[in-house]
Amino acid sequence: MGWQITAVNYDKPDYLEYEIVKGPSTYEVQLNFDKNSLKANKVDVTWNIWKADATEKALKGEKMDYPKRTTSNPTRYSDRDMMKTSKSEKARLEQALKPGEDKDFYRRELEKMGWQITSVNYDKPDYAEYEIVKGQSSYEVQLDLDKNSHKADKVNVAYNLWKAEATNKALKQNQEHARR
Amino acid sequence: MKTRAVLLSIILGGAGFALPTTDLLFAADNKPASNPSDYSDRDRMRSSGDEKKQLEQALKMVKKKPSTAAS
Repeated sequence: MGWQITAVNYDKPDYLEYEIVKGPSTYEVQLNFDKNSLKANKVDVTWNIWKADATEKALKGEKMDYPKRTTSNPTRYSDRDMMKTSKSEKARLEQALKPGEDKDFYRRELEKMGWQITSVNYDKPDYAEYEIVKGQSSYEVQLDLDKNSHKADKVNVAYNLWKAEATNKALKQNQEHARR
Repeated sequence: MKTRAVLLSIILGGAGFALPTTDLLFAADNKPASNPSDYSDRDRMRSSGDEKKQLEQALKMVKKKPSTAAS
């Protein structure tokens, strides 16, 4: 199928987790195996939200070899692990950004919660889309707006899989700051 | 206020009219991305959905755990 395995996050008798890349696309493949028969009993493909360094490099067009070792800190890159920890953060955002308000309200609310708006992907009368960053977390806030009342009739918080350059920069800066 | 707005319009490249400073600051902060469909999850998910489905379908054929070099 032409996919390249760029990271092996887990390689356990009952669980295998790969990050794969083809051109600009990447996914995380999660395979569960029965310990005795070694047969696959669950297969999941996720969006690979948290990417290993080798995956990031491959997406930028660098040629990467098959990984010689499993990822050294897999919990940081495994979608399965990270989803567990970020679920509550996402829920808090969804709770605070309830529909029925205008764009300014959501901007103010995000800032109040300590989120920085790093990119305005869309700013149309019926749809606005923001990328937000706090620490090492990032989400995409999608506002479907009523053209007449200018109020949001639908608010979505997504995991921000495809990030604008400014968002990547902010995340990198925060990561470096956290290391100090 | 008026003098400040005129001065800003000259500094920013000689706009033919004066804008209030607050508007200028707000516009800069709100500038939409030039290629939003590259970064929008909503847009990209639409185009990648089929690819993901194909992968899921193909991987269902995996019967046994492959041996891997990584350990």
